[in-house]
Amino acid sequence: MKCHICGQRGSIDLKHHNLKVCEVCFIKFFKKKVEKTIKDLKLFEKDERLLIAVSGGKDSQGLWYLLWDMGYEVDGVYIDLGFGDASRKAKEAAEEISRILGRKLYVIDLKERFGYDLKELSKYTKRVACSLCGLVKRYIMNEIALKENYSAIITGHNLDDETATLMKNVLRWELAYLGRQTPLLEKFNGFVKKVKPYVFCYEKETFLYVLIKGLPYSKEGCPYSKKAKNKSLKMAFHIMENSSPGTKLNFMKLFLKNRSFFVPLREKELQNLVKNCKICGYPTDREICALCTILERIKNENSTDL
Amino acid sequence: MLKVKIQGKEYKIEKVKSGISLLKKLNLIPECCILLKNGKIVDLEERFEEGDEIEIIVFGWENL
Repeated sequence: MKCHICGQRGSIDLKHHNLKVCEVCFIKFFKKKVEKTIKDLKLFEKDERLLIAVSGGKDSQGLWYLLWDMGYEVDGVYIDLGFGDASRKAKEAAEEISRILGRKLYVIDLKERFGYDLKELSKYTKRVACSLCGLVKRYIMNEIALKENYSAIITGHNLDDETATLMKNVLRWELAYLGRQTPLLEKFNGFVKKVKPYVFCYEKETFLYVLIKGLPYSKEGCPYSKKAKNKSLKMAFHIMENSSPGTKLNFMKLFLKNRSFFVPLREKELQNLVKNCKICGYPTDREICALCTILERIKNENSTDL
Repeated sequence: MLKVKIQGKEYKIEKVKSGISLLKKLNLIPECCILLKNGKIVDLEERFEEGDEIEIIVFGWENL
């Protein structure tokens, strides 16, 4: 197999782009692709202070390195959810990449911050761990970004993640969620801007990037991921992609092109988010935000038990 | 006989001479895999020989 760019021996077949490349040309191609996404979608500028959510996994580790390589000023935040050995290894990977880049890493321990780790929060509230995880992560990231004056929060969601989420929302016709799904959520009433520069990058590409660059990443997956609904959707997309390369990319690009259809629902949702939580000040549509409601309920139940 | 590492576990697989035949045998598709031979990323047409160290990185696939 010959590299379509330099003519040397290639080893990477990107069927969705009808492109065969060698490792050197892949790195250049991938960097250009992410640069184009940032520019075309106007995600952020070179003079902005950026904060990346780092899980220790391949996507956030690779993205942090790539943005640093492009000359962006990016610091990281790692949230320890209390998954024992898996969390320890993930934290080590995040700390290592932070050292390599010479950038600041905020490490937040959920148990120290709120008094409970994710498993305990899930047990006390009887809520699905994945929904709680999203809630606390969004809360902490926003809190640090505001406190430390970062203009945007970056996450490493890749195309495979985004198409699976999109399909999940389509299958349930969650119209408000569809209006909210975008690689660029502008800042609003106490919410910092959120961006996803990997939105058009296949998981295979983000994996290849860390492997070729030899970057540290944690191989430990989330212990709850086996139950995640998105997994079966990801498999379905792999099968579709196999018979029709480019399916995922087209699905996402055409959705974003037609997303305006769902935006009024998002705007309606935003109109309600004008209050601030009476306990912590976080933007909310209620008197007390979702996280404080949970923490207060646990506190009350525990004091009743005593 | 080929020694193949998948997600950290080692397997012995018979009658496999290339990346394509290996994935077929494991019921995997190229979209969810990255193939490495002796630590280097290779394409699916790569031929294998006795003693080669093969590793498959699998993502977004459950039926292993």
